[in-house]
Amino acid sequence: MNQQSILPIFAIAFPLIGAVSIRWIDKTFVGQASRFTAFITLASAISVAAMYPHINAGKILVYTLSTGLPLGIFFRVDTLGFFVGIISICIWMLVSFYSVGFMKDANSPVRYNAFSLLTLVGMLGVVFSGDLFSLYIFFELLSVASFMLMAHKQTRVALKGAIIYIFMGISGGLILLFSIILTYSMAGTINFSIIGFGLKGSPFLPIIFTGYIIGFGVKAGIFPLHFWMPSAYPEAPTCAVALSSGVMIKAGAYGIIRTVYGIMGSGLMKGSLLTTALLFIALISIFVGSAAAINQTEIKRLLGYSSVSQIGYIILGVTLLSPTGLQGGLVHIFNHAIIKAALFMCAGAMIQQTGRRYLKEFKGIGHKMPVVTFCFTFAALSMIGLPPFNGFISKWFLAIGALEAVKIGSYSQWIGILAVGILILSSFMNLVYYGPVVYGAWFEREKADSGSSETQGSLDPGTDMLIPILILAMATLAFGLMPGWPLNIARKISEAMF
Amino acid sequence: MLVHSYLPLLAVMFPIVAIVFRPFVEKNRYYHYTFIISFVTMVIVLFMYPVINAGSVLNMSLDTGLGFNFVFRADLLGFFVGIISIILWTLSSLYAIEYMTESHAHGRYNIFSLLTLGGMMGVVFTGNLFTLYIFFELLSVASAILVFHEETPDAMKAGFKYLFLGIAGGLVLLFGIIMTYEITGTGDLTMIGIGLQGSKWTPLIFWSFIIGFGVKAGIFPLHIWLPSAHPVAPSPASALLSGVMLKAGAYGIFKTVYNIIGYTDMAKSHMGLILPLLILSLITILLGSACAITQTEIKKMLAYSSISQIGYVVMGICLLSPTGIVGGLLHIFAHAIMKGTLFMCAGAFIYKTGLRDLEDLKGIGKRMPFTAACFSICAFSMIGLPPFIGFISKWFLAIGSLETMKMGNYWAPVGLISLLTLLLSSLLNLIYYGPVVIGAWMHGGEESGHVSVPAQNDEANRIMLGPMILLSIAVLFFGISPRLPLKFVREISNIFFP
Repeated sequence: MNQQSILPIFAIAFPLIGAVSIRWIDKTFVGQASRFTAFITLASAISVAAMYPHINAGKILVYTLSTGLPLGIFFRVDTLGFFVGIISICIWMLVSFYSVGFMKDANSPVRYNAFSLLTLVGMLGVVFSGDLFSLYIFFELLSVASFMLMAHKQTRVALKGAIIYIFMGISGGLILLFSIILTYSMAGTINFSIIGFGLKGSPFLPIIFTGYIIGFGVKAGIFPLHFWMPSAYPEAPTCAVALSSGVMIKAGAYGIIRTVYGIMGSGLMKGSLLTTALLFIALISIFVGSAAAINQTEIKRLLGYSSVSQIGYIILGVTLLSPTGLQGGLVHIFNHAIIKAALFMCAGAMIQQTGRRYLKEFKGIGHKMPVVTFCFTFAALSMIGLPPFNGFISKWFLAIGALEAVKIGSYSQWIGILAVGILILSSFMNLVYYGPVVYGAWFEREKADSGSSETQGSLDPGTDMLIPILILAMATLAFGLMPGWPLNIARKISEAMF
Repeated sequence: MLVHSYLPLLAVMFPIVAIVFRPFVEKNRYYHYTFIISFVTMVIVLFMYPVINAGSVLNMSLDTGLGFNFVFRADLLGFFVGIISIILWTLSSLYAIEYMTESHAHGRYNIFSLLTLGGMMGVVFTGNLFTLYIFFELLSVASAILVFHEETPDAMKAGFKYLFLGIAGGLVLLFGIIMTYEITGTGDLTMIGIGLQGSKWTPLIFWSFIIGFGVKAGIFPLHIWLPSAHPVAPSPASALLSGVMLKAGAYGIFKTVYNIIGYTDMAKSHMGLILPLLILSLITILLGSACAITQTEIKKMLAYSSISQIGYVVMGICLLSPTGIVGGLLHIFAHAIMKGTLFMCAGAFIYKTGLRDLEDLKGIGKRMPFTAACFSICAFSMIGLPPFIGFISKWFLAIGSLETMKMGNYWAPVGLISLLTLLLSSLLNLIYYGPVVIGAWMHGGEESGHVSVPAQNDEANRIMLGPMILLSIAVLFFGISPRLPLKFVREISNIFFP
């Protein structure tokens, strides 16, 4: 079923060539760097989309770049890789089109766009890699290149946050490398085409597993490894944060899925103390993320902590070790990417248009920026998990998955009930922190300039920023009403894993 | 198979004899002359390649009438270290043409630079211990003059330390050599195991060799001359001291372990000798990195980093596994080009701006973009990030340490400890290289969010920039496609692990 295909190379080569040539493009067509980047991501998105017929036919696309490296760069796109890849590139493309307007007046546009494209190379490389060695190379590229996005504003605070980000990222990467080398040495293979690398009974199994979880967990931002998120996000350009929160943290989640279902294999993980520990970490992540979000006064920090909580959902789905649970987790990768990217893009538009960043300053913003606030409302409702939005779909499947896990005996009954309880509690907590923002935006007036706000007219940004936001906001509704496509792919993946 | 050839003799004697003709050179062309001589020597070394590649050993024996022959011989390992040295030497001499213009005592510098080159070539292209000793001493004494060159009080102090330790080390080495001749009757360097089996003097001889070569290599606790000597030398000489001459010591340690004692003998009856050396190498790795963190001056930091990196090479040698050798020898190559470039970049910063404090070098990326880019590439490679050459050698060292664990020569956790040391050192490397690289490009202004250093262009000229760019490209190229060096080191490792 393996099929040689150059499509993964295309998907990665477009942004790579773009990153290399962007300085020249910017010189030739002055000020067009952002637009160029957006079209490069479009080309890359088309390459990824072109894989769909093959993937749908149950084929696995492979391509080996023999470079003389010890193992070669090996691309292997299976359904899981394609699924995460297509979400990533679509969100990336929309954010890139949004940044054309958003980064118009920012400093060093060439640098920002070059590193955005490099980061994209890393992201697509991670999900299209066929073995751990290639994955590691792209994983590090992702960490290093995205540092430049986080530090972009070059202020003291931005640098401090970004340095925490890069240190945690590379330390995590080294721990990941440690596990990869141990796996390679113990199991003799690091190729993803094998399910269960045969680490069963190895005395190093707990160390290896923990190494993978820490390595990928830093990127995913699961509970105690999430510190880079609140420190790096507030000062990073909002479009970069949208990419990080919407897409890059999914590289971590993707890695954890590979670890649990590929490297270890669901058979080995079942009933293991390691899985239970990870499940609890996911539950704590969900709870702590939401609880911390409630206390935030700044919009980007609030959204950042919300991501900690949401990534917990995904990991929960993964560790439930039930087909429906995994399906829920995978669909939540899809849904959260859409929702969180939309939220950050809205927040970015609000911050840029009003120059404000604190929640209390956004009261009455619905009257100044109706379209953006409308989109924000959609996404926030979806995040809370209200039907008919897409957030509801994933939470529904996660809850069913938790009960199924009890039924098939992966976990004891009270763990299942605890999981469902935390899911419901977290939805409520989401309401507690998203509710006032949305309510305030529409129904409260800012006291200071209540008179003048009527006369100012609409502050909504131009169409180049509005269209990507609108597309994503509509997607939250569309995939809530018609969740068939992501659900089907997720089911296929999860069936292959069990 | 020994092939009679004048090439090794020519490579060694050409730079030395060339000194005789230097008086005929115009005074302002001294550095050009040195460059041309280095270049011709490089061509001579390259001419050896077809024979070496065919699996033969070039040999040339001169009867001295002392009872010992001068034997000039180029085997695969010698050629490997030799070609790296001479290429770096040539590029460094090119760089010196510009860098040294404002220096003094040009004649002296060039004479001793060529003598040092002769010494280095002599060390790698010899066939017996007697000849090796002669050139080893030549290398120590001639290079001390390069350390003395600036004639500042610091330089004098560092130079004396270097000279005394070098000669003391040489004498200890001589003691080992005499003992070896006494016991085995031969000092042949290409035999594997020259017949020290069963001698009660083997430990004494082994440690004499290790101390002798260890002083040159700068392994703990014999490294004390290194951090004072490398920074005070003129930068082209620092690049050679760190990039090339340290490797003469590492080369000697390799010969001691694998030729004079031999793997089988070592693993069978001398584990008590190699284990302390491995532990010393691990201490060297961590100590060098830890000291580098506290440095405030760029060249001092690089010097401490060299101590740590030479620890990697010695560790690879001491792992007693085929992949360990591959990693160690590959790191000789990797470290030569990385550290050579880093010292040249540091030299360029100092030459153009007069700044050597890390604190002052913030924002240097705006003033000298190309030099700073080369520095960044090599710093990333030093940390061990893919896709740079430093990652490849660390990968093999890591695999090698686990291979050691499996081979069972050592107590099993030793391999794991080596692996952990390797990763920890990568992290330490990040801690001291990271801020320099980040500071160079992302120097935050006070509050404005924009750079405060005036973006005047201070870029080094083409003669200085050329070698740095060439070497940086090599760092990247061999990181992506390490076929060529890998082919060499694999063949070398096959010789010693049949």
